[in-house]
Amino acid sequence: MSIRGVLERLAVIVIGLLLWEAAIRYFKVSPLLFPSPIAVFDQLIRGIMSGVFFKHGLYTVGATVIGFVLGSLMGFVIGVLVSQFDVFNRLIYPYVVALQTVPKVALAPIIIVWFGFGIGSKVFMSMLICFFPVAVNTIEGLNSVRPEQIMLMRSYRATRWQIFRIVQLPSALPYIFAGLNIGIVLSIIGTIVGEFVGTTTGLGRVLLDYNYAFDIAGVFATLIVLSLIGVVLHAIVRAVHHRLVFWQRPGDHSLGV
Amino acid sequence: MDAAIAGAMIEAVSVGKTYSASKGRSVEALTGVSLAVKDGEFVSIVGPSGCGKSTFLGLVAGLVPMSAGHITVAGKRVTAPSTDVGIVFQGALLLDWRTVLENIMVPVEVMKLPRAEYRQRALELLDMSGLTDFANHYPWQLSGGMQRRVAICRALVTNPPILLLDEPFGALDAMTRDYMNIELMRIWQANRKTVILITHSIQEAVLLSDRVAVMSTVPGRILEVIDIDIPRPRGLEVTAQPRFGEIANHIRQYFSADMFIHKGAKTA
Repeated sequence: MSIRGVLERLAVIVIGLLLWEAAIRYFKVSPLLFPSPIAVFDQLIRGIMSGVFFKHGLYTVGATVIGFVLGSLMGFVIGVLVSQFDVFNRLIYPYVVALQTVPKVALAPIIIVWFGFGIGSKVFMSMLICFFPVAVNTIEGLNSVRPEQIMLMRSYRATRWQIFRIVQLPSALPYIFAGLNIGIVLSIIGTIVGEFVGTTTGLGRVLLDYNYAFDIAGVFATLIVLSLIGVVLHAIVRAVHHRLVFWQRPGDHSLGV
Repeated sequence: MDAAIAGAMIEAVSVGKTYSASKGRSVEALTGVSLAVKDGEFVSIVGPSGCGKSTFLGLVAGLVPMSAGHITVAGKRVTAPSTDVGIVFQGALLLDWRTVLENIMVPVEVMKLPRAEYRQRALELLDMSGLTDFANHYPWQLSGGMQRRVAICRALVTNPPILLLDEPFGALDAMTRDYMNIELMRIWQANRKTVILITHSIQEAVLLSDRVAVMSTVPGRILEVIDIDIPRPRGLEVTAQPRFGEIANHIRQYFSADMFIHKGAKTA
């Protein structure tokens, strides 16, 4: 990005914050309803200095990343099985789709019952919620190969494994990464929901504590930390994406679920 | 090679292909197609779109099971894909994540042939196609014409005696196509492969071929096989010769307007 571009973006943020602060002062908004940016900043610094955000953030990030990795792996494996073996396509896939229609957030209480108040239930929520976009995109990607391309490989007497390894898997990578890009953001949501329902640690817990204490500035500060975590995790996935799928031109395969 | 005994490199005898369609109906794509192609001969099949000419190529390649008749390639009955055959489809079908050289090496990799030896051959083919400087480029950095040449190199790398070309230059603009035709003739003359070219361009067929087989609409049958008695080597200038025009017009009469009135898949 050019220096000018960076300055423009910063200017938007600064002006936004100034307008926010001005509006709070002008309309005399109660801090119980909506905090001023200065109060939010104050709580942010406090949370950082006291180590609260670090301790709970680490827990949330840990649960999110473990859940994301497990859920993505599971999505990938199921995607491969469904696309490669008709049996899985006919017998398993309809149930996978049916499962997806269950609102997973609503499962959080029962998952707490099954996996307890520890990190296990958060990991499971995060895993469950990122599984589907990865599975669907994997299937879509593996099936995106042109039939002539497969015919060409068959004309070399390629085995199924060779066709998969040389053509299908690399062809599917842009789609799989589209799924992962969505999955990582959903994983954070999954973890937070898990933390809402029952835990003593994690940013979801911190958020609830601030809320119960009517410390709305604290809630906002926590939201900022959560957003930053989301941005960083998403950026990591994107960086790996662009490194690995170097041949993908912008605008290709921007498939989402 | 057995083919010398059989007298023909490719021999199709009364070949038919029927696809099953929905509701238990079936579509006859090809019927009673017989065609013999001699070793080193260049034969084109022209026909209207959807006449089953690509299906015929799929049968020769062993990619599609036939419903009637049989085909012998290099003396062997076709039952499965054979490494004696190199194929070029309409799209170049290059893998975007592999360089030009790596793309050409795909068949070598799949067939588990000695890489070093075939790498040398791949480089020679690139040199012959004027692509040496692009060996380490990616397909998306190449023009459409260059991509087709890479696809032809890939089909030639394992040195199969037979080359099957399914409208290889279909998507190219007319000028690039002329150029590719000349290139293909040059490559063919240097390698002396047995070639079947599927095309809907009468000019391309007449320019390149020793013989042209004219195919009807669905179900595809061979209406006539025409000897192209224009001496080689041929350049683009032969297209201006009266003999070229005569042959082209003779073929074109098969595709007069009334032929298309009843176009569409017949059901059997």
